[in-house]
Formats: sequence, C-alpha cells, structure tokens
Amino acid sequence: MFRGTLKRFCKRYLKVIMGSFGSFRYGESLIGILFVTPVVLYFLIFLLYPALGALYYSFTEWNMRTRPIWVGLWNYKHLLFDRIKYPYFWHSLGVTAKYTGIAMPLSFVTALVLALLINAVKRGQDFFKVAFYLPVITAGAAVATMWRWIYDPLYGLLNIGLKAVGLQPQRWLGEPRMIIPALAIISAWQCGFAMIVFLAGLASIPSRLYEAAEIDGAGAWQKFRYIMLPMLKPTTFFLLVTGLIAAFQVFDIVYVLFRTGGGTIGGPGQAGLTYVLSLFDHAFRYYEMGVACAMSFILFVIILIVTYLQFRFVPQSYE
Amino acid sequence: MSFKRFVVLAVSLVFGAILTTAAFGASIDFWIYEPAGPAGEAALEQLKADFEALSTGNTVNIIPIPKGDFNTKLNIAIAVGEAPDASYLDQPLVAEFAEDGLLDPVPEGRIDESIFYQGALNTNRVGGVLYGLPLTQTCTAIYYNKDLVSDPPETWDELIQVAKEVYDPDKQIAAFGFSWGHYGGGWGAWLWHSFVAASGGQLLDEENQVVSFTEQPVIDALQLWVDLLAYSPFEVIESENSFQTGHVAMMISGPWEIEGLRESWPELNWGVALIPRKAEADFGTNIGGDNGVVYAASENKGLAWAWLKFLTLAESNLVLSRDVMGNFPINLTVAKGEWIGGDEALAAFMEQMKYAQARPRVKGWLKINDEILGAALSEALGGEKTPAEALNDAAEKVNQLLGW
Repeated sequence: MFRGTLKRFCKRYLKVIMGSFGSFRYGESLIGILFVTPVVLYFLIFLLYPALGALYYSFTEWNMRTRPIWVGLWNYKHLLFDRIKYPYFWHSLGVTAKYTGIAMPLSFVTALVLALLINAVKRGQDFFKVAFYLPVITAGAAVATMWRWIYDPLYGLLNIGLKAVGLQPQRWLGEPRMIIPALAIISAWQCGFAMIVFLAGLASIPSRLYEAAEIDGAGAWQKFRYIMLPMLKPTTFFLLVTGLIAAFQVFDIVYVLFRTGGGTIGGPGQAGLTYVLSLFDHAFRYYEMGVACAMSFILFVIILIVTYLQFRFVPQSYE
Repeated sequence: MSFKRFVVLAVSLVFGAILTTAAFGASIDFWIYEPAGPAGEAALEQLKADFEALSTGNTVNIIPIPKGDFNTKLNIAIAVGEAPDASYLDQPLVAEFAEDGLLDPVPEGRIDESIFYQGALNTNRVGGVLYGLPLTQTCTAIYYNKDLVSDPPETWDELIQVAKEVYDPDKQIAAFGFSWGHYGGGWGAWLWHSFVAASGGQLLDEENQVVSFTEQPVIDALQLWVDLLAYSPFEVIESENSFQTGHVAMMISGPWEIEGLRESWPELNWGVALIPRKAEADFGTNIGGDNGVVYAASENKGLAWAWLKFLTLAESNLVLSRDVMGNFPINLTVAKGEWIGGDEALAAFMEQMKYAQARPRVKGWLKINDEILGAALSEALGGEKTPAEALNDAAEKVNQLLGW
C-alpha cells in the first residue's frame, strides 16, 4: 500500500516537475528527478521549513531559551503601533527606504558607467573587470576599516579632497544626516556585480545594430540612447529587482562600520539603523525572537509588494 | 599571615565545605568563553586539574565556546534541555535568566560576600537575591595625555577647568573624547553610567524598582557631558585614534586600551586617573565583566557551586581573570597584589573598580539602555533637548515599558 502511494506521489511529482501531464516517459523523467531532487530537498529543509518555523514563531513571544508562548498578532500590532516598546521600527524602515532611494540609483549609474567604459577599452578589459569587482569580494571588516579612514573627519582622504577644492569638510560618520549618503557611496563603490551583469548585457547586443546605426549617421549618444539603453532593458529590470531586494536587506556594512570597537548600534542618532540591523538586534541582542520573526515577515510582505509593482510597471523587454 | 598561607587556609576551608555538599564521583559541564590563546587554554586546564585534585573523584568538563556565539548557543542548549550545570554569563543577562527561573540562587551561607568587590557582586543581585558569583570584571576610567594635562582632574569643576585650558581650536585639540568618537547609543549610555555613579546618583533606586533618571545628580551628569562638548568639537573627537594622535587631552575608556597604547603608540605620554566626581560625591564608575551561574536544572548543584567558588578564590581568580580571560580579578585580596608589578595604569583601574556601580538588574535593561537611555543622550548631546527634558522623557518611557 505504501509503495503504491509513493509511486503515485512520485508520478505526480514528476508531472509537476516536468511540466507535461500527458506525454512524459518515466525513464527519461527519472534522470530529471535525480537532478532536481537535491535542490528540492535543499528548498524543503533549509528554506521552506525554517520559513514556516519563523512564521509560527512570529505569533509567539520567545526568547530562545524558554517555551514559546502563543500571542497571536501581538508582535505585529505592537511593532506597527507601539512607539514605546519598539521605538525604532518605523525609523529603521525609513532609514532603509532612504538608503535604497539613494544607494540604488547611485550604484546603478556607477555600474553602468563603469561597464560602458570597460566596454570601450580595447586592451586590458579583464584587468579592469577584476579591479572593479574586487570590492565585492573584499572582507566586510576590511572594507569598514578602510572607509572609516577615508571618512575620518581630520585625516580622511575625502575631507582632504573637499578642502583642496575649497569645500567644507564633513562629519561623514558622525553627523546623522550624512550617514546614509556615506553608506550609499560605499554601496556604489561595491557595484562590481551590477557592472559585470551590464557588461554581459552590452556584449549580447548584436553588432549589426550599431553598424546599421552608423550607416544612418548615428553618433555615440544616439547609439547609447536608441540602441544600448533599450537593449539593456531586461538586464536593467533584473538588476532593479535583485538590487532592491538586496538594498532592503542591507546589514553587513552598517554592522561592521558601527559595531567594531563597541560602537553604537546604528551610528550617531541611530541614523544608520537599517531594518535588518534592527531585526538582528531584536533577535540576538534582546532575544526577542518572536518579534524578529514578525519583522522578517513584514519585510517579506514589503519586498513582495515592491517586487510585484516592479513587474507590473517596469518594462522588461526590448519593446 | 603570608599571602600563600592565606590561600592554603582559604582553599582548605572551601573544600571542607565542598566535601559536605558535593557528591563523590559527580561530574559537571561548565561553559566558558574560549580563551584567546594556548597560554589561556593551559591556564584553564591547570585550574581544572587543581580543582579536581582537591575535589577527589569529581570532574569538571570545561566546554569553551567562542564568545561571539556564546549567548546564542547557551540559549539553544537551554531551550532543548541541554543546559550546562554552570556557565559564564554576561552581566546584563543575569536578571533575564533569573526572571525566567533558569538560575539556582547562591545557597545561603555558601560565600563570604566581603571578599568581593561589591560592584561586581551586585551585578548578580536580582530582587535582593544573589543568583551568581562575579568571576572577572572591568570598568572605565579617564585616560589623559600627560603633555596636555599635567594634573588630572579629581572633581567635575576641575574637569571643566582643565577642559577650558587644554581646548585649542587652532591646533585641533579637544578636551574630552569618548572611545571611538561615537556618542549616544547603547555604548555611550554605558560609558555615561560612570559619570552617573560619580555624581552620587544612580539609574534605578537600590531595590531596582524606581527610575532615578529625573534626580538632580543624574541630570547633572548629562549636563556635564553637554558642557564638555563646548571644548570638544565632534570633528576632532570623532577622528580615529584622536587620543592617540594627541588631538584629545582626556578620554573615557577601559583597560582594553592599555596594550594598544603601549605597543602602537610608544611615544604617547599618557596616564590613567579615576573618573572625576561631583564635588560632594564619592568616586564612581560603571562595570563590565562576567559572572558564573549555576542552572536550576543541574543535578550537581553542590559541585557546580563549589567549582564557581573555587574560581573566586584569590589565587585561582587571578589566574582566571588575568591569564585565561584577560580581565581583572574580583577578589579583593588579590586585586592589589604583586601581579600588578608597579603598573600604574593597572593599579588605577583596580582602584577605580572599588567604586564601580552595577548596572540595573531588571529584565530588558539592555534594550532600555540602547533604545531609551542611549536616545536620551543623543537628544541632549545633539542639542534637541535639555538634559532634564531628555531624561524626564526617558524616565516616562521606562515607567510605561516596565509598567511602573
């Protein structure tokens, strides 16, 4: 009986996996199922099960050491409306939105400019690709240390540069209003991934389009405006969706910038307290795991809505 | 009585008591932060061997855990019913664990409270009950640049006077700096507690049942920091290593700076002084460090307490704090002993620790410290509110949060 049930389950599984209800052949499909099973198991064990667990814990009060107590929607309600218990919920959401609004366009433009420059270089392209990609794979602690020096109010390179051109030096990591722009600059410096994707997008544009444009007398700007940008729409859309999700989840750079050496949590005035950093504190500093799980699902809903809007309104194809 | 004879006598007395409470052939698991290097590991092993030699037939299984993962792993172990018999516990967590009913109170008559630094001991007192023993401690004091400050200030009036004298905007010399330049936030609130203690005030009352932010000494402590900012521009004190580079005349920080100052800044002429006190008050400072606790679920509580008590004895506490953890001992007998070896900086910190004031022991204090007190500091230092307004608002929030 069990074997029969298992066989029926496998057949249905195969149908779903192969996507052909009437015409699949069992032997061929077995190979397919073998290929996808590790990923399916990974998804079930390491993604779906923890996600469902987190959803359950979001309805509980749980400090990770005693039994979780079911509290229904209490965590959600108090996160959204109780400014005494959770004074930084909306603040951290605002910080994250501001960061996303500044860092994403800045990274995008930087990545596109770098990709265009590298694309235009005749020799040594690989060197520049590696050089501009290095910040992505550099250890977070090293990045934070280096940028703390660059942003240093007395000896920092940036302030020395500002003074050299007659501008006022800034307290990049000390003045609350400067913190998000400072983080956005670091994000733009780490745009290597987007740059590589843009390069791939540029490489996929057929050369005949440029040739035809040149015959029609198009200059560099016209080629960029009427060929490159439209042909990069799928690439741009992909980077927009993944970039926005990543920006909403920004954590590591803020953590290492402000935590190293016993610093404050989100920097002066909590101006760098991003949503996920706040979530981390609730989970692993205050041991409010139920609250942290609720925060993660609120973020999930926000990202879901924003991503849906992107799919709905942002052009995805060449047309 | 010589020091060695005192130690032998103390150990004998302790183990007389141990043998009456700890079962023969028992074993306990003890979780501790992973020592920094092989020397620390060897010292820890020696402590274990010494204890087991005295407590014949009993075993201590030492389980070192990296400090960064310690609390999370401990929580998980407790959640699945695998709690150790005893462990290290970060000071602010003692109240949390005690209120969750996870800890075994220190048995009546088990310890002599007079051998401990009282500030360190009090970090274990929750609702008047002692839930653990201090094992190591640390605190903050004032570092001063001897080339800029010839005579470190003892009182707040002197501190302001010195600040006025050393402040030099042309040479970019600030009077007073906070570690790493950050102000406000949880870290700033912890540092500022030193000045609250040195004002004669406290954050909560003795019973930890009434908020004391609104009392004048506490407001004065915040006003002092605001006043110091007039002579300490942010753009100078926020610079990396501003004290080390000679731009800051005085800074509040802990003993963790000593090694770096000696190794990386050998030409800097610096000293350590007590946190200046308000004229009519005694000295004061904050406290950090770690405690030892026994879990209520332990089946060998007697042996677990005996082990923790052993770690607080003069000789073993010195080994644990200095050689294993790189912190300061909590046993008064050893604290000013030969181990300091004429080191003025260490001696100053040991002296400062006598005046340490334990942070409040109420559930959720860490969050209050970060999100309410830290925010009040930011508001006052940023000029958004006066110290009195910021602290009154903070007190109101804490009262609402704790239902007081």
